[in-house]
Amino acid sequence: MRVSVRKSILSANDEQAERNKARFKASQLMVINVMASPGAGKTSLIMRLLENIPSELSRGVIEGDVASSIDADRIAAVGVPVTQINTGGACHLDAFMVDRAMDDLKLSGPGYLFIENIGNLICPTDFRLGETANMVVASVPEGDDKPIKYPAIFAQADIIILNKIDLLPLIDFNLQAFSAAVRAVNEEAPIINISCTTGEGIDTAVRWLREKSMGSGVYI
Amino acid sequence: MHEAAIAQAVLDTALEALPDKDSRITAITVVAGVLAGVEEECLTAYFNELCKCTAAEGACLRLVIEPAHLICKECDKQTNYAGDGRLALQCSACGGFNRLEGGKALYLDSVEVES
Ligand SMILES: Nc1nc2c(ncn2[C@@H]2O[C@H](COP(=O)(O)OP(=O)(O)OP(=O)(O)O)[C@@H](O)[C@H]2O)c(=O)[nH]1
Ligand SMILES: [Mg+2]
Ligand SMILES: [Zn+2]
Ligand SMILES: [Zn+2]
Repeated sequence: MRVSVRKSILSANDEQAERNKARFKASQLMVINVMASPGAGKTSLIMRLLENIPSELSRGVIEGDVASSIDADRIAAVGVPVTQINTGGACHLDAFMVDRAMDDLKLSGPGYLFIENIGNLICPTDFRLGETANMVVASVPEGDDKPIKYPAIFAQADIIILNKIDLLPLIDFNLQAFSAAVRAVNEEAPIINISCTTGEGIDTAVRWLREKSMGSGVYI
Repeated sequence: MHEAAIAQAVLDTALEALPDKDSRITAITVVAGVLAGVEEECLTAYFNELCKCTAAEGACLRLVIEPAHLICKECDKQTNYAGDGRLALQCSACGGFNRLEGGKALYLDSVEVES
């Protein structure tokens, strides 16, 4: 006998993500899920953004890492509350891990919470966390064809950050080709060019954060 | 990349759909879009391990892969995108830019049950 089910396979995660979303909203937190390949500059960008958040707002970070606590230590060193999720080899964060991390972090708003997902352009796309916005970071040394090779993650980005633009003179990276590739898979997300090293473009990213927080009903 | 987690979720969802506790699942049909990034061989390997000692032991896992579509923003010409990395930015007919649609599904379609 054939039984029709037609149910999302990740429905348990999706339901937890909805509960996380409600929790974030109730605590007045704007939550940014930062996704990128290893070494693209997720931690560097989060640290740059944290520096620019006005002191009357709360700040926090959830660091996803396969094993080490290096990134969490970098955040803690600048005095920002941080919780580490060691996935023990798992290649992505899921909504349940984030829920537990929130119990740990005890962050309340109004303010910003950054979640650094595991460095990987494939996995994190399937697992919603309850975030307010998905931020995908690409970086110049990776090449301008990444949106074509990994369309799914770029397709669901609310903002795309192109990092390490200080390296443009040294690397064969075509900005037009990159944005054309992004536009094939995502017509709306703004693309912001930055360098965490020189600080160029960080102000534009900070402005985007503020506008997004107002537009998404998290009043910060 | 996380086929173990997906395989476990497929099994859990299928077992939940069992009409009664004495019935058994003999086949499971999963629909996965090309952008969901599920690798069939790997998923099947995990599933075949995880299903042991459950009501779905030995069940055949069928994966139906759903393509995404590239649609020309100028002339609406539609082509399938099979997820193989050769994503054409421009339309082969008019040279206009394409946009990508669909291919994100990931759901349990049905189970074959035997009591
Ligand atoms: N030249 C240059 N280097 C950068 C820039 N941003 C980050 N880096 C360097 O890139 C390397 C990786 O940066 P991280 O911020 O650790 O990257 P990540 O994405 O958090 O890396 P993982 O967490 O290990 O996946 C470090 O050596 C940074 O100093 C930039 O704008 N320009
Ligand atoms: Mg990092
Ligand atoms: Zn994964
Ligand atoms: Zn066309």
